[in-house]
Amino acid sequence: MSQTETSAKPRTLPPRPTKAPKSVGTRILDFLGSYALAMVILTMLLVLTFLGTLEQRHRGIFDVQKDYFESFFHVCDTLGFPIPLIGAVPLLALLFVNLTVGGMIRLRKGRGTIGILVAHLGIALLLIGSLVEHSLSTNGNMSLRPGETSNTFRSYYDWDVVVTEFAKDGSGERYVMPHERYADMSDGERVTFQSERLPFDLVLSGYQRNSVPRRAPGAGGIDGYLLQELEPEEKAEYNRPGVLATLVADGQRDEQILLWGMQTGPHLFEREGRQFGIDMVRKEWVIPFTLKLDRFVKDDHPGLAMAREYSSYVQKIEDGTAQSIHITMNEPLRHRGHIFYQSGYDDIGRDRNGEIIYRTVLAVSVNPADKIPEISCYVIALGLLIHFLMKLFRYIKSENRRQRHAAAA
Amino acid sequence: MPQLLDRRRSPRVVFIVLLAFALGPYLQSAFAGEGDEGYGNERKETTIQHDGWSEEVLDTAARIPVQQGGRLKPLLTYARFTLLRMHGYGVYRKDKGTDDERLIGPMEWLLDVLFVPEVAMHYECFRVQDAGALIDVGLEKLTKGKKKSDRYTFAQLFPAAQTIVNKAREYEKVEPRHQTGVQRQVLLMARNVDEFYRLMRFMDFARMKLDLSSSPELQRIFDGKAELRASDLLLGSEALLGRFQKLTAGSSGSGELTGEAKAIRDLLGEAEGPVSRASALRIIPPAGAHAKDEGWYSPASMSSLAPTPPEMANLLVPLERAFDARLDGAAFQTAIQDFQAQSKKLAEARDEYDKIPLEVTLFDLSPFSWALWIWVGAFIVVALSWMWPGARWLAWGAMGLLVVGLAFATYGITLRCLIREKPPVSNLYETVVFITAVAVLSSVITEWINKQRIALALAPVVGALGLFIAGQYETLDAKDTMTPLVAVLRSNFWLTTHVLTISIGYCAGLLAGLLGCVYVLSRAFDFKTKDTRYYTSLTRMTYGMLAFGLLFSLVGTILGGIWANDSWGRFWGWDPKENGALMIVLWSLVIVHGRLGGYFKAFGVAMSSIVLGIIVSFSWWGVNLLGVGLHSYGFTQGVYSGLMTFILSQCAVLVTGFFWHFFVRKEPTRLAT
Amino acid sequence: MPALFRAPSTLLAAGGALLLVGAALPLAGCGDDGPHPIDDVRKVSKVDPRELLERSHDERFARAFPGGQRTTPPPGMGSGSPKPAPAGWTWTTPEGWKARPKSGMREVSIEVPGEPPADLAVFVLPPSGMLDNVNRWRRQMGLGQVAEAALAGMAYEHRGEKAILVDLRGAYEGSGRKDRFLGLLKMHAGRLLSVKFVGPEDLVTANEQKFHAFLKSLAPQSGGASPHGGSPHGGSAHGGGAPGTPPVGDEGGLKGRLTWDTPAGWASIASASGQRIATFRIDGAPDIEVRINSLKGDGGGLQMIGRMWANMAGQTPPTEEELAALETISVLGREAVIFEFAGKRPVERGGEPVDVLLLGLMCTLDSETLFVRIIGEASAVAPQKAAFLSLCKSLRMKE
Repeated sequence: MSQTETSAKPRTLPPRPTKAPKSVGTRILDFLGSYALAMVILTMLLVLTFLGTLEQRHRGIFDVQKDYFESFFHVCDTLGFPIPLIGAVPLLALLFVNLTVGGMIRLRKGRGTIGILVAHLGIALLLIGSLVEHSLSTNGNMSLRPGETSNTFRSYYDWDVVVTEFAKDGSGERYVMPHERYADMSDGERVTFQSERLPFDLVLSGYQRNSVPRRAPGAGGIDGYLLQELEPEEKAEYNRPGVLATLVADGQRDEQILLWGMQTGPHLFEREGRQFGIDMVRKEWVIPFTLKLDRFVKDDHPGLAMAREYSSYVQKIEDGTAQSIHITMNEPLRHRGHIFYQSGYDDIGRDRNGEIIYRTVLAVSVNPADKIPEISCYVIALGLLIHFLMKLFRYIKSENRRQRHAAAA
Repeated sequence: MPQLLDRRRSPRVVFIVLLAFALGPYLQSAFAGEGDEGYGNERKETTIQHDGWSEEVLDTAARIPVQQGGRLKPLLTYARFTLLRMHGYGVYRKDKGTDDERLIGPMEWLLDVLFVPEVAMHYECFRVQDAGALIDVGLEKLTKGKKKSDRYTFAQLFPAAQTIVNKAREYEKVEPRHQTGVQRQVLLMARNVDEFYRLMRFMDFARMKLDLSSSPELQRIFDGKAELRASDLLLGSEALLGRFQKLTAGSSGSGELTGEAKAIRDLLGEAEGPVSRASALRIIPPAGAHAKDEGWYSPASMSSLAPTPPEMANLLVPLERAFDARLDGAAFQTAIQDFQAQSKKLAEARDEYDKIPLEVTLFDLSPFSWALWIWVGAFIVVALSWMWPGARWLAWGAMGLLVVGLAFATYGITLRCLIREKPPVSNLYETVVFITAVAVLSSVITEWINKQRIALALAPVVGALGLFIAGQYETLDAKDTMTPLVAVLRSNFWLTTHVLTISIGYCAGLLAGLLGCVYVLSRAFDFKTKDTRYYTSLTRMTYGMLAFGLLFSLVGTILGGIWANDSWGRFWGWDPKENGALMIVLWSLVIVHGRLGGYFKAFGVAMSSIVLGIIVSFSWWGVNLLGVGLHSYGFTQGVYSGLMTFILSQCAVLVTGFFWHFFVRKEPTRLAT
Repeated sequence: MPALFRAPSTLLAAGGALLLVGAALPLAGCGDDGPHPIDDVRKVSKVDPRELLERSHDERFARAFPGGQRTTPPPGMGSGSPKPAPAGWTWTTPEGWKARPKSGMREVSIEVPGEPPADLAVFVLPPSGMLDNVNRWRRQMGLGQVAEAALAGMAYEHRGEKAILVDLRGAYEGSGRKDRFLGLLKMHAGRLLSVKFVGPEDLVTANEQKFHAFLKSLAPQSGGASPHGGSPHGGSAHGGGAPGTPPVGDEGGLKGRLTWDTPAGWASIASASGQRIATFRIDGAPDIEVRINSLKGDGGGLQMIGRMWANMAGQTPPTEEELAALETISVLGREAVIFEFAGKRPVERGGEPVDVLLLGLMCTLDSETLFVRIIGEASAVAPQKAAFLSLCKSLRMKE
């Protein structure tokens, strides 16, 4: 109608005062702290998360995590066609920069934005915590039968190659070739390890993440065996790796040994009158104290095989003194940077009374950033709450004012 | 005062309202995933004439405690979910096609199966959703004249019972993800046939009469009785076993038994069959020497206690009397009441009975059904209030009905919390009910703040729809919704707060999405075009709901991480449920930053809120479907089609919005401040 | 359409920022090409290579083959309980003794009532050294260790077979009172039968007669040897192989200096394992494996080798007399013992027992012992006996 047409005059703005052109540095900072960048990064993270979730229909969570959320770049084909994605590492790093520049440094500071500032601080803290955890934390597990003690825990996913020299008195010296040094080798690559105390060099090659030994046809293979590569297991803890180890010493013939994660024991060999064994075992870490399982308690729901509750009574033995501790679900043991969680249990047979014997499984983690998520949660919640409440009160006040005006009109 | 409704637009509103009602049945069938009921003829080949059970009997029987699925529950709950699982409906239409045709409830159905199995075996209460399953087990003849998904009687299925069991054992080995529809049906059939059979045979022990006339020595043990019933045998078990041990004390244990010892062994052997068939229901509370036991007993498992405590064996007496009197209304009632009273007394002595009446109330009263229909009524009142905007009492009436419905819903949630002794949200079913109630509550509060009648209109729709979905979930899942929790979900402060905040976050996200729909559809259908206050309010409500949702979702997600950190040692594991929550937070942040940066104005906020609604629904329901094969019968099929319907409807709104924004609108919308 | 980027140059800036940020983060090492020093060396307290003697690749990879555990989950992943050995024994419980249910490794479990009660248990275990078991029990009773020679004094006949009866007095597992321990060890059908009866001294003494009566009644259930829980033996290469020359070996040690005449129809396979000198496959008999290897010192001794090889063949271990009566031939200027064991054993894990024949040669040299061994189904090995003997006789040092 005519009223709308005549009122549609273009708004005239006052002439903009001329400003000095922005320097390159300022423009970069503008960009880094911009809402646009925030929106783009967040959307890309959203798409990454969505596709990573879909991919978990077919692949295990460990592998998806490595490809999507711990990488720089990944081409996803879970929808049937390739989609190039920037990985979570650069995205989160850039988010941190954007958050700091735009959300904290360049934020208009005032009463109205204090909540936002606090919330951004909390998120920045959370991101730092996750970086610390990603680079500095160690995870594994420890299983104990009743009465058993242990001062080590083992990795779920990493396997070391170990050479043990056997001494006459029944002890041994174990030389460890760590997972991270050889497991990322590419096809055809060889990784060499040496030590002055060993009369040979050890060369590892042909590493396979999941494999099984097969009898070699004809006269081929290593002593009649080959390692056959398998598809990675959906649960990465079940992968059984294999690698070819070659012993090299000057003037002596190279000896080749096939190693397999699930082999029943080390392969023995001799050099210069010394007895050695070579094995492939899960990576093991030593704890500065010992745990002993006194009792594992499991309580089932009546009439069901489902556990209602289970927990472990352990003793922490350190410097000769023992302390009794109860580890349950949701109540881990925290000591000297190590955290022990009641993760699960195994049924390992029956005792003389026919009662089932359980072996407790404790998840162990060394995580310097353990408490950071909790702290950041409080900070974020506080910031958002402040901001939200302020906005809410303002909204209610303005609604009331509007309604009073409308009533008066 | 501006017109709330342009009179020329009113037919459009009426049309929309009528459309909503018309769509209802379609939506229902979309959720249920199948067609109609499948009636058939019931052949009565039995001479037993049973007239049904009285109200008192049904009420008493409902309150019999039974332990099943890890917890003690009223027999009514057991009956209800068993019927639901076997039949697909919560009620059974008995005597179809005759003059006596009527609907019976689950309690009556169960009593029929237990006490007049000769009649119940001809009830068409076995739903088979894929006739291929019948062909697979050799019952092809049955499928003639029947639909693909139809109902059958026990008598029809039983001849193939062995085949069904064998096939089921085979199919059990296939991973659930890879099972075909027919395999799943056969597995379900096996389970249902087995349970029905055990229920039918449950009272066999009451038919048993052991003849002692040829063993005067044994008669002496049993106070001169020449005929023993199961209860007599179990009551005298201690004496009997003592006598047996004395008789066999000296022997090497490998010789032949003679005389009295042999008679005792033969007696026990004869009794073993019928008593061992009474295994379906654990209705005998532990007492006497076994008072410290945690698990309840069925008559079968009780008989293997050597000896059986008399306090427990005594409970068989009223059951036998009830069976004797099954065709005699008054005597049956007395017997059942006796049993219930005895069982209740023993249960109270163990402090286990107090929740039973609460649960019976929950199912009898059905507060969620009340809430649902009250909210439907509220919607009608709101629709009327649009047509007569001047009548403010209509708006108040609608508000009142909303609050009343909310009271019922809250009552239901509270009852469940009391019964389970747990905080309100511990499984998927409870999230639906809780989120619905919170949605209605927040809409009521929003309406109270801004009185625009937008939230008032939305609330009953959301409420009724939500409770409807909850009902469908229960029917499709056909499992007790108050199951005990796995150890890792044992109540814990972080876990409880996490679940509650995330649920509230979901709720707010969905409401924001629905408000966005209202905005877009209003624009597209030219609703109140000149009323800028309407649209401004809408936008503010949407954004406010969004911010509220962001707060709760973000905090809830991190709380979830803290709980996981304390339980398993890892704060964030990128698993589907966690990722779902993260996606909600990320998108909410995108909208917030988009608005602050000026990229999203009113229209942009509305559209992106609709996307948020889609993400919330994916996170809430979609992630559960990922682990299981998507195209399967029953529960997941129902969830999948419901979810798809919702997402497609939202996409339709988005498309409408784009169309309007780029091709239809004449002037840019003003920035909502 | 809302403007997301102000200018195209910002797109370039975005790409550059991402690269910078990406490069600034610690990257995984691009793989140094040089050798890595092993800097992680740890002390391990208890290892005993003697128990791991003769562990061939077949045994090492046993879990990979059908019948073996193909997927052994790591601890904590629900590995399930090991299954007890299949029932294969009958006995009579003496009067007054209380039989308890079989559990785990305990084939028989009996309680002798008393305050405190005495415990009797029968185990059927994989083969291990008798001396080790005796010393283990002695340790449990708080006693010192004994040498192999002492075993001769513990000889006992159980159901016509050679066994060892152990009688110890001490304090069982630090009980603080006077306990007595009666035990029986016997190799049977490739497994170690172990009976253990321990309790307060007077209670055990009072029940000693009943213990011997129990032992007398303890018999395997009728039937052949119980299925072997051990690893499959023998290779399964198909077809012929490499020329029959020994691999060029290391100086020092037998490997490089030993040579022989490969019989017709036998092919030598290249072998890189340290202790293995040669491996042969036989034409037309792909399931038989012949191996020549050497071990330091006496390789365990005649009795141990005899016992081990008898187990492998499914035969009861040879007695002292039988060992002394074994044929000898002259190899490398020494008296080398020829073993021939025949028994019934499943060749495939979980399969039917078949007739198995083992032919072996043990030649003790100055600082090491040479072994030649052929094992497989009797019908396939028996025709190779002549070839085997000719191979053994042809063993000589290279000039």
